[in-house]
Amino acid sequence: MYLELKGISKRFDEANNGKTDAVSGVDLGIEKGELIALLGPSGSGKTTLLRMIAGLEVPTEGDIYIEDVRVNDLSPADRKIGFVFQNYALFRYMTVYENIAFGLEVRKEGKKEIRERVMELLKLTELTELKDRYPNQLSGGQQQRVAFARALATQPSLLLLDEPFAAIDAKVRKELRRWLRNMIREVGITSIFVTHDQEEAVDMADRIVLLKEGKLVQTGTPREIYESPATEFVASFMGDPVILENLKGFKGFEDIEDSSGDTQIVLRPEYIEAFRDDNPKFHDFIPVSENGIVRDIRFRGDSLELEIEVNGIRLRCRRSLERRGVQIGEEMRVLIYRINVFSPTGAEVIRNNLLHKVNLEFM
Amino acid sequence: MKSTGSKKFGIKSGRRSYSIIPGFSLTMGTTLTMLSLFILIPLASIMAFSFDLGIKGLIEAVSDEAVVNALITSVVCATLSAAVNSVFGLIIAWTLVRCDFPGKRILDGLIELPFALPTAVAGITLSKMYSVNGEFGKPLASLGITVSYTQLGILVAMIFIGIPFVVRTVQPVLLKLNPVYEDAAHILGAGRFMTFRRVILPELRPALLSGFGLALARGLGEYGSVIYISGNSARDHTQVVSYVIMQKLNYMDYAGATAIALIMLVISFIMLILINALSIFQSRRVSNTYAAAQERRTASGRGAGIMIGISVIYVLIMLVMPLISVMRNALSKGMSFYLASLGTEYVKSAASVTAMATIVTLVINTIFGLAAAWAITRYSFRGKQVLGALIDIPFSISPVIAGLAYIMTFGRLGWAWPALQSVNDALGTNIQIVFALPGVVLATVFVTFPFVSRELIPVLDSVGTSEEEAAAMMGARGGLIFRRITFPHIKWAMIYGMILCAARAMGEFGAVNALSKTRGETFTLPLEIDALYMDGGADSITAAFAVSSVLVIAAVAVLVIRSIFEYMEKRNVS
Repeated sequence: MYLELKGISKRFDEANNGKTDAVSGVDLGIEKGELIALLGPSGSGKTTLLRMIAGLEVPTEGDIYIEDVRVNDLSPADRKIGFVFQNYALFRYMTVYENIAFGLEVRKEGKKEIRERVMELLKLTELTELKDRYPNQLSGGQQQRVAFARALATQPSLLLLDEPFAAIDAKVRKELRRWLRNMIREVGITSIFVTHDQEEAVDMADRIVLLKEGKLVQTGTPREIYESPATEFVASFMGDPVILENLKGFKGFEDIEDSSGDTQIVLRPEYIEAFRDDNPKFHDFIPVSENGIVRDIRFRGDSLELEIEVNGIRLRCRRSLERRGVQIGEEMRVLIYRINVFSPTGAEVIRNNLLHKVNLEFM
Repeated sequence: MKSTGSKKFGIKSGRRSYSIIPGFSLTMGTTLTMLSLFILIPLASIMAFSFDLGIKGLIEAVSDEAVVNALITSVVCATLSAAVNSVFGLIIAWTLVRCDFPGKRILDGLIELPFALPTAVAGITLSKMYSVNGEFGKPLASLGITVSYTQLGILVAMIFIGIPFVVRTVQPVLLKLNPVYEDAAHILGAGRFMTFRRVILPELRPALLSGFGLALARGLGEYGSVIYISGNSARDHTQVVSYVIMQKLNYMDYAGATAIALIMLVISFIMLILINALSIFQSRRVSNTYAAAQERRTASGRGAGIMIGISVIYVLIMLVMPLISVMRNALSKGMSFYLASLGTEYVKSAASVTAMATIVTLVINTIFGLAAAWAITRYSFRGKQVLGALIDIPFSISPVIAGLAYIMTFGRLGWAWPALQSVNDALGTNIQIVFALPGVVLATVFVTFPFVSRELIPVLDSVGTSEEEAAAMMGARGGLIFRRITFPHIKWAMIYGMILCAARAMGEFGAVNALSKTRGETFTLPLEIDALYMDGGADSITAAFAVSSVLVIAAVAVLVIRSIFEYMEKRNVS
C-alpha cells in the first residue's frame, strides 16, 4: 500500500459556533502507480480530503501513512508531494521558467541542476517556446501544463490535483483530459485528482473513490461503480437514470417485492430498449416487452433520447440516429434488460428473468 | 535531493484554524503590540480617567449647556453633511463608473483631495472664501445668506471633508455590478428610474450606508477645517464638540475634556460596530455575479449629461475653488512677499518638525500596515472582525481626542508619568513626551495609523492565498514567500498607502494641536499656519496662505502620483 488513510475525519468550526464534519471516518488505501479520482458532489469533502493528504489541512482524527510512515506531523514540503491547485495558483509575477524552478530554488539545488531539470520538464510539457511568458499570457491549457510541470519539478512520488479542469473551457477539456492522463502514465507517478464530474472520473481514473457528505460511499474501477453501484446515490450520481419506487406489473420483474416505499429502483437509459412491432430483429422480444407511447424526443447530438410512457411511468432510453425516425404519440415496445434495486437490506442487480427464454446469441 | 528536514507540524491552536502560510505569530504579535501601544492603551487612559470622575462627575461635566449645545451642533451638522454627500457622492460615483467624458481622470483624482489636504488649510481657505468679502461669501451675502460664523459654515466645512467617503465606498460596488440585472429589468419593462430604485439601489445600499457612516464619523470628530469658519460662539451654537474639548484642554480642565471625549468614543465605537455589521451584511447579500472589466456599460444621452454636469459643478465648487483660492491668497502680495514668508525661522523649524514626524510615522505605520494586512488576510482566527474594527478606530474618532489620549497617558495626570519621571531620574535625562517632539510624532502616528493597512488589505484579499500556499508547500519560508510572491502584488498599493499616509501626516492638525504648545520648537506646518492666521494681521494672513500653498502643492502632487500608481497597478494586474 503506497498511501493509506485510517479513520480520517475533519471537523470545522462554524461561524455560528456549530461544527460541521467535512470528512468523517474515511479509510482508504492506494497502490503505487494508481490514478485515483476523488469524486463527489460539492460539499462532499473531496477537496478537504485531498488537502489533508497534502498537509494543507490537519485531520481532526485519523492517521495518514505514506509508504508506511505516518506523515500527520510532516510539513507538506517534506511529504514528497506535488500539488496542482484549482485555478493553478501560478506565481503571477514569475515567468513560466521561474515558476517551474521555484521549488528547486527553495531546496537550494545547484544552478546547473535546476536549469537541466526545468528544461527537461519544459520539453516534456511542450512549453519550451513559452518559458519566458508570464502566466497571464497563457491559455488555460498552457497554464495547466505549467502547474503540472511545477508540481513535478521536485520529483515527488505522489501527485495531487485539485479540480484540474475547473478552469478549462468545456470544448478543450476532453482533449486535455487525454493529454494529462497520458502524461501521468508516462511519468508513472501515483496520482489523486478531485473532480465533481463523473464523466471526467470515468474517463481518466484507474479507480474511483466516491464521497458523499464527508463519507466514503464506494471505491472501485469505473466499470464496477457503474455496473454495481453500492447505493441509490451512486447509481443516480453515475449516469442519468430514472428512479422509481416500484416496478409493479413489468414483465420479467414480477419477483420484486413491493416493500412499502423503502425500495428504490434505478433504471438506466442504456439498459432499456425501445423498438417497433414490425422490427424483425426484435421479433422474439415482443412477448417479454411492454407496450408504451412516445411522449417526448430529445436530440442529444450523438443519439436521440426517447421518453416513453409505460404503465403510467415515464422511462428514458437512447436511440441511434441511424435507426428509423420516431414520432411523438407513436406506440412502441419497451424492453428492460436490467435494473438496480436498493432496499434497506442491500443492493442488487436484477436481470429481466424472461430473457433466458429468448435466444440472445446475436445481441 | 536535499531535504529541509522534518519540522514538527500540525499542532493546532484552539483559537485559529490551521494554515500552512508561515508568519502568524510574527505578524499577529507585531499587529497587537503596535495596536495596543499606539491606540488602545492611550484610549484606555481616557476611559480610566473618566471612571475616576464617577457617574455624577461625568453627568455634571457633560450636562453643561455649552457641551450639550456643541453635541447637538456636531451631530446635526455631521448628519446633514453626510446626507448631502450621500446624494452627491452617489451621483459622482455613478458618473465616474458609467460615463466617459474628457477630464474624467482629473475628476476621479480630485475626489481624494480632502484626504490629502491639511484640514487647517481647508479651514482657513473655506473661512476666507465664505467671509463677506470672499469669492462665495460676497454673492451669498447679497442674497442675504451668511455662511461664515454660522452653523451653515460648519456644514460647508463638514461637506468638504466628507466628499470622498461615499464616492469611494459606492464606486467599487458599482464597478463590479453586473449590467445583466439592469438589462433584465429593462426587458421586463422597467423604466430608468424604476430600474435604479428597485435594482441598482438595493445593491448599493450597504456601500452607501457604510459611506454615510464613515462621513458622519469624520464630521463628528472634525476639528481643523471647522474651527475657522464656525466662529466658535457658544451663544450662536456654533461650537463643535472637538472645539469644546480643545478649549477645556487649554484651560487645563482635564476632567471636562475626558468626560466629553468618553461620550464621543462611545458614539464612535457604536458607529464602527454598525459599519462593520453592514459590511458583513453586504458581503452576504451582494456578492453574486460580478461584471468582467470589458462588460462595463457606458451611459450616454441627456441623463448622462445632467449627471456629468452635476458632478463636475459640485467638484468645482467644493474642491477646485478652494485650491485656486489658496494660491490666489498666497500670491496676493507678490512673489517676493511669498518667498519671504516661507523663509522665516518659524516656518523653517515647523518644516523640519513636520518632516521628522512624517518620516517616523511613515516607518511605524508601514511596518504595522504590512503586519496587520498579512495577519488579517492570511489567517482565519476568532475575533478577526473585532481586530479589523479596532484598526479603523483612528478614522472614526476626533484627532483632538487622540491628542487628549496621549496627555492622559504621558502628561502630569497620566498613569505613565511617574514611570517616565523615574526613568529620567535614573538616567539623568529630561525626556518629555507631551508638549514635546515625541508627543507630536505619537499624535501623528495615531491619526494615520490605518492608512497603509487599509490600502493593503483589499489587495491581499483579492490576490488570494493560493500562490503563497503553493510556495509554502514547496518548503519556502516566510521571508522568501513575502519577497518573491506577496510583495510584487502589493508593491504599488503599499507605496500608494505610504504616500497618502505621508500627506495626512504632514497635514495633521487637531491631535498635534493638543500636544504642541511651543511655536518655533514643536510646531508643525499646520500649527504654524494656524498661528499666522490667528495673528489676524493682513500680512500674517497672507503668510498663512503662502505656507498653506506649499502643502496644497504637496497634496496635488500626491493625487497625481496616486493616479499614476493606480494606472500602473491596473496595467500590472490582469
